[in-house]
Amino acid sequence: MGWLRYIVLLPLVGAAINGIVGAPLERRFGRRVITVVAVGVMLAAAALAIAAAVTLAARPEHDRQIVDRLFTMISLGRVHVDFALALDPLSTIMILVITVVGALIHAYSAGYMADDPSYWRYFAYLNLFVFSMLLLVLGDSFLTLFIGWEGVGLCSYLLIGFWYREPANARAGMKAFIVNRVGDFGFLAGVALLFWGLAGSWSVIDHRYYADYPRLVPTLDLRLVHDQLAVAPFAQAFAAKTFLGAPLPLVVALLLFLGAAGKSAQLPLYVWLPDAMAGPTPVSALIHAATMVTAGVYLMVRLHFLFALSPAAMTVIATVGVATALFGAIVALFQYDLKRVLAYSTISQLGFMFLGAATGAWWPAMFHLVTHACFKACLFLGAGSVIHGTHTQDMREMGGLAPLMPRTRWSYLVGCWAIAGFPWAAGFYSKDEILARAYERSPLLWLAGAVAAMLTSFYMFRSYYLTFEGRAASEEQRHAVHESPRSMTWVLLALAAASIVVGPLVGLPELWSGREPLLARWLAPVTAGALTATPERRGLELALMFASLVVATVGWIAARLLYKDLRAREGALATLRSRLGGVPALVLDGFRVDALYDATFVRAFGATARTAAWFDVHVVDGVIAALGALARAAAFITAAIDHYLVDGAVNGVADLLLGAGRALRRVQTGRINNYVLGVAMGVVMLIVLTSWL
Amino acid sequence: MIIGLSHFLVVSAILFGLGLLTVATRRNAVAILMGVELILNAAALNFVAFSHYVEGAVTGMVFALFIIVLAAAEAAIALAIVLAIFRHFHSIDANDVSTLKD
Repeated sequence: MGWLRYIVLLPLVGAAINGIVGAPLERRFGRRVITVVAVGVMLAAAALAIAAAVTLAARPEHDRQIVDRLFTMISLGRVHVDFALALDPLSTIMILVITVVGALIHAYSAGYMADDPSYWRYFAYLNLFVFSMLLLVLGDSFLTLFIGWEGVGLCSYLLIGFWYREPANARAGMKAFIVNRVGDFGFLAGVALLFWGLAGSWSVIDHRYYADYPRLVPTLDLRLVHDQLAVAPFAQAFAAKTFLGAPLPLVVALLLFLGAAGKSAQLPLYVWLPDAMAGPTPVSALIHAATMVTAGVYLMVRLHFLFALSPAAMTVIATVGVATALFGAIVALFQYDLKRVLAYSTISQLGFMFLGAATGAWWPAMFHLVTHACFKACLFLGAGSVIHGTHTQDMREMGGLAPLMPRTRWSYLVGCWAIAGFPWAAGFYSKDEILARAYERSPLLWLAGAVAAMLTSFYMFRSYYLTFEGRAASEEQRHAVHESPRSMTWVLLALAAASIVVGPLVGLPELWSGREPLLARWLAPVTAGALTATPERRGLELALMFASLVVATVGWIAARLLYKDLRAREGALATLRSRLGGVPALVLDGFRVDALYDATFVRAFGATARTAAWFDVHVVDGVIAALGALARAAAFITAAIDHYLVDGAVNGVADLLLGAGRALRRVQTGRINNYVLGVAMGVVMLIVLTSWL
Repeated sequence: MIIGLSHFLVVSAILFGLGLLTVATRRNAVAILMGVELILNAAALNFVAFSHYVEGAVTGMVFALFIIVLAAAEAAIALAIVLAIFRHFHSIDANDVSTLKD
């Protein structure tokens, strides 16, 4: 299957064209060419992805796998790492989301960025991001996956700091990159430990099992790791290993989760995502809502067999997930920046996904990933449309936009509807599925999740009412604001439609339709064996569903009461605010976690860096300067030796010879008489000498 | 008084000493040549004298003849050189012909 690579390579080609010759192309032929290239490759990739999905669906269930090997990256003894792409049902879902939502957002960007001076740079980055993301989800080995993993991190950094003339934006980009490095360390360490653990346990059971299982070689190949851990004695040997006293599966799972938490903005490492809103809004929609931040969830589902080996790790991840869901929702309550509301909402929703994955609800986690990609992209692009129209991100300066921006308003409302979890919209099915699984694990998890869901409903409708309802902030704004161009609004409507359609289409609960949801069936080959069968408790499921509905409604009504007409409720809000005291300000700052990190990690690292710099300047430089002085002294001495001893010897010999020559030339008088006299005297001397001796 | 070998040798030595004196003291090139002739003749006399006292030997006489011929040839060449020097330096003083020294 050689064509799989073109799905990945097409965006790379687009990035290369726009990145290398984008500036001259734009000068020569105008921006249309840039747009055509960028959106064209995305459309082609999306078409190929759909074709790939259809091809895969046409195959029998056990054969749903397409592998495309490009070349061998490493071949060392028994270890072979290919640069290979593999398409299975799980990555099919991911590439569909990435290419389809990606293509829509590319199209939207053409309108949104139309006046930006760095048009070609933007699309080069965006295409490069899609390339990296596709590599991440299609990569067949940890190494290929990691290339994509780092690539999306790089593109995220480039796009957050896209308007780098503003120092704050550049700082936000760096923050995202550095926080992600912490996660990447976890990822790399986890992979290294996994490799060590597998290769190690292989050597332990080498003699007994090698004949039976010739595939038990040290490997970085994702599917091979899966196959190896499916061999029971092998998996037991792996599970029995320890690292620093802790069971190896726990350590590996937690380290990999650290990587996932960095990418997916989970609790200790979420701090970069709110700041990432400094980038252009379509970027926030594509990278920081729909695709990149879900890479962690994808990683977990991809490695579900590994995580399933350690129930303790699963408990930790479930706790972190639900805590993140609650935390994100609480912080989102008091935000005034429209994009920050959505950012914290994304953190919260990602927490839901991790909660699902950690309770063994693999397909609901993926389901929520897909629906979230649709409705969050819709919400972000809606926010982008609002920002495009009003030139502000502060919701206090908005209000009453509903009649001015009808299409934006309706699509945003649908997005709120979907994320809040009202029936028929996507979020209802996916969130319910996750919460139901969480209830089976522990009612406490469900309770925390339900509270987070209620808060979600509240803050989303709060943002809706503040933005679109009530009275306009000012008369001028009322006249200045206009609906965004059609090239942007049709994307909004498409995504809003997807937010409604996708849920019932792929995840209609068994309770309603009488058959297993499409997505569950589709993912069954991937998550086979790991899927915990849903117990037949219709009553409970219905009750939970009803509870979710109640929770969403409560949130909505509360938001409507408080914010429907903000200026009419000023007084009530003021009393509420005074009763809460300093809490809103605290929450607005995200519980001052940033300040905490600044005070601890950033300061500690800053101090370390300063100490290192001081050490560098004073000690290392001093040593080097001393060495230099020493070398100079040595050179001075050798120069003296050279000058006086060596040159002296040479010149001395020369002077000696010169002097001798001068002295001896007197002998050569040039008078023939003298010479003759000399000869005669010599002869006489010889005669005398010979007669004596 | 019987004239023996030593008399010949004494005459020859005196002749040689006079020749050497001439060569060593005279600055006139022609005079120097004349001194050289004296030295050569002293040598030839020696050869002839020794030859006389050796039974049936003619080697010394042959040497004397060769020396005479050689002296003639030498004189011819040397005089030619002296002529050439005179043409060039307008002098036959040996001390004037010392341009190679400096």
